[in-house]
Amino acid sequence: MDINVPQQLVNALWLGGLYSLFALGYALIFSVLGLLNLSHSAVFACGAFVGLYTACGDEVFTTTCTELDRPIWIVIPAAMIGAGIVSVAVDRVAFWPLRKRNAPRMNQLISSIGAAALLVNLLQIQFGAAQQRFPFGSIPNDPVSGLPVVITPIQITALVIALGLMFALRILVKRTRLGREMRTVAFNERVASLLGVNVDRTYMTAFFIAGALAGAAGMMYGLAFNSMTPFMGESVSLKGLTVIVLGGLGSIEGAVIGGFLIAAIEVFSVALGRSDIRDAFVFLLLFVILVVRPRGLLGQGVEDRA
Amino acid sequence: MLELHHVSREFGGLAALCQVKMVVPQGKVVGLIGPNGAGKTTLLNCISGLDSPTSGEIIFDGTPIHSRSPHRITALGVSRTYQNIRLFKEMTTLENVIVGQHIHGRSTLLHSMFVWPYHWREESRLKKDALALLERFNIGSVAHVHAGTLSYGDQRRLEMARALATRPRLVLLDEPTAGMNAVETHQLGEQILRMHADGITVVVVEHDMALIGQVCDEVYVLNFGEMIANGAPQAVKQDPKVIEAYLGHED
Amino acid sequence: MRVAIVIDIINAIFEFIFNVLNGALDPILTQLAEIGFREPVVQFMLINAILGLSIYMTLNCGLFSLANAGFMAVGAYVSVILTQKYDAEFGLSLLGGALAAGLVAIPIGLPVLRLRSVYLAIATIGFGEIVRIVVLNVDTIATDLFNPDEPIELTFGARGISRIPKLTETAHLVFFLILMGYLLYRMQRSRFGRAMTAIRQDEKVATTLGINVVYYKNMAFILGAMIAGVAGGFSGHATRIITPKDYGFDKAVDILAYAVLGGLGHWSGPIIGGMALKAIPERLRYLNEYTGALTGAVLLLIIIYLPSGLVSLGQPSFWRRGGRFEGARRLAGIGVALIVLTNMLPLRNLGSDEVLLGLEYWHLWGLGAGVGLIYWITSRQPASTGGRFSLPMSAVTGLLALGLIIAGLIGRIDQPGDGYYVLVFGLLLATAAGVIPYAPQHTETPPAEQVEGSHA
Repeated sequence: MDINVPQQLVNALWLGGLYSLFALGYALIFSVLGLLNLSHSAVFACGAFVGLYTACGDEVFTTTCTELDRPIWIVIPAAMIGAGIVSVAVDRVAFWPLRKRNAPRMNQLISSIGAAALLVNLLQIQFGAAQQRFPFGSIPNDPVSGLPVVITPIQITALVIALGLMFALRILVKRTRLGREMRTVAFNERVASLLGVNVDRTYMTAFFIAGALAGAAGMMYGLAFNSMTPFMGESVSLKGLTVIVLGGLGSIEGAVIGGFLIAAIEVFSVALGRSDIRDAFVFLLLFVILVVRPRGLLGQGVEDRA
Repeated sequence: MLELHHVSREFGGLAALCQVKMVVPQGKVVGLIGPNGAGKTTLLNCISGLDSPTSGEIIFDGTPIHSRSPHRITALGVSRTYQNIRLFKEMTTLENVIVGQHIHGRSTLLHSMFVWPYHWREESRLKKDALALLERFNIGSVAHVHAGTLSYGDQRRLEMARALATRPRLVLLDEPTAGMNAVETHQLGEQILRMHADGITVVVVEHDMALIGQVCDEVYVLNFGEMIANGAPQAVKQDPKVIEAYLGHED
Repeated sequence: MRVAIVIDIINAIFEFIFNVLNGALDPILTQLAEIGFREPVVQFMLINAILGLSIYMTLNCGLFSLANAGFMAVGAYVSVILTQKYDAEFGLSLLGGALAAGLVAIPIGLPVLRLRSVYLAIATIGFGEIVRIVVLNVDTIATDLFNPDEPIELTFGARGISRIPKLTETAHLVFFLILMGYLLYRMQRSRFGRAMTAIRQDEKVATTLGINVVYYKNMAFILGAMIAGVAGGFSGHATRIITPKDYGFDKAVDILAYAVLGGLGHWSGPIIGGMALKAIPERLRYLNEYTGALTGAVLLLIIIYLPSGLVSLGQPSFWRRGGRFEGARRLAGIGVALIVLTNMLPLRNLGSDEVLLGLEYWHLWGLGAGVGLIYWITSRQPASTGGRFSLPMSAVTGLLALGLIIAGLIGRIDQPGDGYYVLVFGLLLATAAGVIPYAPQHTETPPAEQVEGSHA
């Protein structure tokens, strides 16, 4: 079989950027709260729709978007802020009440499912179940000329933004006071509050950042494929989970590497003509890694979650 | 009864136990003392199978047990308590002890579904034995109370009762008197002596020297994973190495 | 000859049982149909209850496994293929499905059950996905491998198997559910069940008490798989068509929700939870596009107000717990939620002039705001909270809610779009959830470290 390796690598690169970005939010929440937030994929979809609404205005409620009210670049910051707020709201409604009473984490998992169902259905009520898209020609998705591989400006943008956000998150967590507080809370909530860390605010910040990352990923996913549905999160939900497990639960570098790895597996298995079982490869890998090395590729000691 | 030959346990290059040698004779009460972090609990974990030594041998009654799984070691007759009480908090006091009798029951799921007489006979036998054990530790009156709601002293006693429910020949007690007052400690010492009288071999990790003096025939002293002394309680107390371990160098 | 006689006798016994059950069920089913639960719905409620029990088997042993949807798929496909391709009797095909699921569980369980908490959950999700993908592709792979000329058709890929004979009867389900209920009831007070409970509560202690943890975990896993397999067989023969996507990640998580919502403190919890999670969306069906959103909201409300599941409503301790006003608050919270749920959205559908319970909907906004305010004020006394309570946060939530309630009222004046209602509804939820103070309490569910394990 004839595979254009550089081209597939490029595809894997920008798709991997999106997966990593999405998975980073998962990883952040897991590392701070030890919680699998299954509503993360709904937040991902919310981000895309907030962006769409910001750019197109009210007409997306009734029909599809026919012309842009605002410049296209606005969608990404809008999506990030919108999804961040949604994410914080999810925390307040679905997790905070349970956290306050020390409910078992399984309950929090279920409440995250409830929140996801609520969000996806609200999106569906607002925007309809049909596919929404940006008007043709509004997104710069003609391949950049003069390159040996096919890549569109939007894909380049996605990759650049993804890498930029990952870098920013890394600095935030490792270098800033906020990051230190997050790591303290992740280590032990009680100790953190004794040390004068505002635990509640730290959680909210973590949720905001996670939501913003998911929103950015969702928006760029929507832009790159120019297609948005309320259910768009479902396709990445499980992938995000796989990514953070592969990389090591709660590890930021792991989530990044895992994202690119999964994207590469997908892209190449499709290129090899086995798209029917491409997911099987992914989950088989997941299964084997969990059994052989439960902490993931980059996971450290289980005690060290931050 | 129990012999440890050159037992070492390393955690990522850090030796928690180093070439530990120890002999516990049949029917004796042996104390194990040492400063905090000396490796006492690690040693008990190795004997009971929760942990396995990196090297060395642990022989119980002629059987090497250092690579056996914990439930098989228990079946051989080793039982233990925990330093930080670990009861089944959502079960009642009585149920805690009945779980301890697991290896002495034979009924399976099918028995309890379809062969009622067998199931009932076994249940009532286990229950009778369990109640007797609770009486022995003076906690019979709280048999049907959730274990999580018991007083601290009762929880300690229940844990010992549960350890005895497996009908062990060797009992490992990990700081059984932690948090108890002098009177309670003394009573507990009498319980240990009663086990001794029943022919059970006891290894007791303890900080309370009064209790050690009250019950132990022999004492081993562990410091930084190494066995630094052993002998009769009085002799060990005078040992300069032991005093140094507890009080530190004077440089 | 003898075998034939035995089979005849067994058949006769089952026939008798099912006749009796049918006689008893007929009036009940009629009643249920009158209040909107037709027989197919009832059947799926029962199937959900069985699924709830299947995951309870593993959760009760401290295993956070999400493999049950995968086992359900195995059971469904095997039993459907048995009846459709090989004309097997229904009972035998169910048995075949259960055995197949159990057999698959053995090699999966041995490596995977060493994992804890979230790791186990994700590994089992991975397993479920692999099952789904295998079912999806088994035809093409088998054709490639064995017989490239003549396509092998077993699962029919993504199209699924259709025109399945509808063999599942309500009486069968009730019978099986009673059997399983009995199993769990007996289990709870047996040596077997106690060993599992002990493992859930403290695995290490259990093993030093002589309990063979690996054996019991695998038993729980296999039994759960077999029950899920039977549920799969039943559901396959109740729907007439099965496709691989019926048994994906969503289903796995749904099954977990049955058990957790019903409550893990008692074996009846998963049964109640499974039934409720089919009944609630059915009951809300008249809300059309709002059904999904409201089902999600109900899920949230239950998990927040009844952390030990629906069964805790039946426990006297639930009503006494937490001090003088706590019970009243709890009730009020549930009451407000119910009023909102039953009235808010129907009003929109019925048109703004219609009223329910004599209340126009802005009364309800007012009520919500009032209750929210009362909660906010009462919660400011630390004594009533019994724990830490962050005043600024409750103030923010309360003010935010008030603001959006006002937005909802303005929306009323401006002939609002759907959005306002939904927004305000969501915020009422936020008020209820965010402002009610919580007292620390004991829950019947196992501590997080045990069931879900600690990530720390």
